[in-house]
Amino acid sequence: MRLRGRHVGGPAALAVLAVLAAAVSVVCALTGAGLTLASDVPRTAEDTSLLANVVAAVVPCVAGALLARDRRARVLAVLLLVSGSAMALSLLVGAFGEFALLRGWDGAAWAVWPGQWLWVLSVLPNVTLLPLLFPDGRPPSRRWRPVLGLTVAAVLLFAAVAALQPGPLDLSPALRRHVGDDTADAVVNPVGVDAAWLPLLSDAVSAAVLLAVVLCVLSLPVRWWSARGPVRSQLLCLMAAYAGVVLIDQVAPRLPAGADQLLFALSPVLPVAAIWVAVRRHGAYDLRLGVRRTTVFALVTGIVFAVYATVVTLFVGVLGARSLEAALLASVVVVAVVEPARRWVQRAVSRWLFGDRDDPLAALSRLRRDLDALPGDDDGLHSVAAAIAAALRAPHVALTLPGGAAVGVGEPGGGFLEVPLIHRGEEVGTLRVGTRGPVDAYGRRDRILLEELARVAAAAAHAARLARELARAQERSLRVGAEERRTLRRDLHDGLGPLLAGATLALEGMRLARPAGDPAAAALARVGAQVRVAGAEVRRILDGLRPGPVDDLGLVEALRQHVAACRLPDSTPDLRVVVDGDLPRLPAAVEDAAYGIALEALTNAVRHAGASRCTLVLRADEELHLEVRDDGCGAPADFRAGVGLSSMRERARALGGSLRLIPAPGGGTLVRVALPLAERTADPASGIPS
Amino acid sequence: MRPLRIVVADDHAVFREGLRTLLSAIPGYEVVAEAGDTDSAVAVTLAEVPDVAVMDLSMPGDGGVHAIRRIVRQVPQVAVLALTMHSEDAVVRQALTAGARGYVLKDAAAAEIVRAIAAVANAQTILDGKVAASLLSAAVQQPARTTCPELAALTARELEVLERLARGAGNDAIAARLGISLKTVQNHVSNIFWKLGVTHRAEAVARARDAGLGAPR
Repeated sequence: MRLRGRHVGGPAALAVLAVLAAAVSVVCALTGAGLTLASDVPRTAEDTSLLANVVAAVVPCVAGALLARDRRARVLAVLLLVSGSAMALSLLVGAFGEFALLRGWDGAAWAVWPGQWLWVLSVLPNVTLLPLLFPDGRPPSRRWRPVLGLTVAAVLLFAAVAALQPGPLDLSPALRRHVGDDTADAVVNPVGVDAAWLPLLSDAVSAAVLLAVVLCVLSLPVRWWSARGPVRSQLLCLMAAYAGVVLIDQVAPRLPAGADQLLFALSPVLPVAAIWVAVRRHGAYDLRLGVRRTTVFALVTGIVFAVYATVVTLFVGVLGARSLEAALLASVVVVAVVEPARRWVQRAVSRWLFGDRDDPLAALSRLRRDLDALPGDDDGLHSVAAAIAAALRAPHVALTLPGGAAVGVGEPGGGFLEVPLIHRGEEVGTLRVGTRGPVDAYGRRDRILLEELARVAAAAAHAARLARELARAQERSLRVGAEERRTLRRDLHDGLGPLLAGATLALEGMRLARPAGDPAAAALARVGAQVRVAGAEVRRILDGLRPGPVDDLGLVEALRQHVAACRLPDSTPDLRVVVDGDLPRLPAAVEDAAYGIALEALTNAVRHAGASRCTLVLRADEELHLEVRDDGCGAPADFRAGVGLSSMRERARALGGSLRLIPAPGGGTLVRVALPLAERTADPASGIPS
Repeated sequence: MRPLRIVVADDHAVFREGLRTLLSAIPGYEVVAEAGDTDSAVAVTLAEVPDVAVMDLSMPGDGGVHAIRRIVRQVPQVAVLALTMHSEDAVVRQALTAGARGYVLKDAAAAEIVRAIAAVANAQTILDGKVAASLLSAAVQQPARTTCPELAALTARELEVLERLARGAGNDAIAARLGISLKTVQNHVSNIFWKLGVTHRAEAVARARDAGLGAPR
């Protein structure tokens, strides 16, 4: 079996720029972290927020670079890149500033200064613009535009105010301890503005930032309340991520040093994971997937950092190399390690969380179990599609049978793999599996599993086709049989019946013509009696062939006559047969079924529902529609289909028709039957939900 | 006494033969002519003006009921006996309405058929035992309750549909005009039938016209 694959979409200029920016940022962040690790400043576990900062730089950058390929996610991608790059730069200049300060370089303050305001650009967008512009990169509505303006202005002004704040620059507690307060206080802001308006502006901007944060974060629940469809779940996803961040803020400080840092490092990952899931799994994502992404991100980041730290420590501590060289070398090692690590971790996490992809046997046996448990009238194709989608985490799966009938789960769109379904060397349909996106493309194991599943799907498709063909053949034989019985009954009724009756009369005449006592007269009487018995026999056969009234009078008159016969003085309901428009000549099978169903429905109305009125409407287009409506007590709420109703339904279904029992407006029951006049020619397309 | 002069009309030669053989064996009955289809049945009856015309109902041509109607109109003195395989009320009623004086099934006993011919010739009415019962019960039943609810019971939309219906529009035309689906129109029409208690589209139209709906403008 060969797999035909096709991917859609391609890199655009923005995507290329994004990848470049991300790469530069990651190198900056790692180099900065390396310099910090290798510096002479002694650090305690308490003031090492390095891991969290590296994660906050690397994760948004990588996610942003990957998301920039997706048209829907460009704005969010840019936001993530800005946030990550600011953090990365902040890490680099922080480390460089420390380096410069320790060596007593002139202008060391200039090196420290960017750290004073860069963090604003890294932290604030995550709690303002991100929730506001989530998930499609636009403000929720026109009314939110002022909030967007306010937010952008507040964030930029806040960064500017931080950059212009006069006096000593903020140094990390460890550095401050190392160099002493006097030296530390001597590092003042080179562009500080000592003016009376600055504190006022600072207060005003702080208030504006606070307002912007509140409004932007509040926009999530407000929109969630009125949202419908996938957006609702996407918003919920992001809210869950923010709730996670708040939870970490509360829990982490109570943990022992080191563990708290690991937990803190998770908090920048959560919103990124929510965005990732929302954008990449449009419509078909769930929280479990989010959990997997988050876990993979966190583990990969942790591994990268551990490798990096080990390499740097090894070089500086053991080999005595210079810190800058060690940092650069470590960066190279990390770049070499990161992709294999991601692949390994992703597979491990997948197995841990889902198991299927790497365990075809489990997927297959579950699918077989599902198929065994199906009710009789379900051909199982939908279950097969759903099982394949679940096993492969595919956003969309469709099974197509020859003749165009299709069964699908998920939303079609984007690229897909197409696999022919082969059963005993014969192509019985096609299986389409939507691709999961470039980051999570199908691997070798996925394809092996897909082939196995396709074999089961082929068997199911084959069985479904046989079942459909059988139903069609049954319908055809029913229709043809009824037509033949109609012809046969006419022939017997109009041909043989009068013939036998005539023979009886002739024999009787001949007998009467004989003189009394003639033995021939007795013989004629005997033969005459036998011929009459034969005539009665013919009539019995006629009645068994079809409902006689329908054949002699046609459906409408037959029903009218039945209704008239039901009507006894006083006690019985007002029964009417109404014909809406003209009825064409109906196929015998349709007439018979309609007559049988109508009689049953009338009986129900009269006998069980205690109706005082019952109207039977007949109407035809491509189908014969039969409505039986009464004003009786209606079907009780716990009504279970009795033999009568299920046999009515069975008759309708056998002709490819339908029967519905619904409460009539104003009380009573309405039985609605539709019987196709012509035989089904093509498969009824069950269609793919659009 | 002059024998009863009889015309036998039936498209089955074997049956005609049988009936003639029977009647020729009984004194007082004479088959003067036979016919095998509707037109010749009328023609020979008009030509012979017999006492009794024995008429099958399913014959080539316009059919027995039609022949009965023409005979009764043109030679009312001829007593017509319907002799047929059909036992359904509606067919019986049609024949009687057309003017047949008797109705007997072909598979009745020979003696009954002879008795029926004699009876209609005597200006009596006779019905086969198999059909008489259901016809009688239908005759004595109360006429269907004539519930005549006002058009006020209809919703605005149903009135709209009824008005177009009264102007002679078909369901699909109404659907197109009102911009709703054919199914919806059909549901409205069913509701109208139900609420007005009518048994035919034409009756609903008549009711609507009575109320001044759908009048030509």
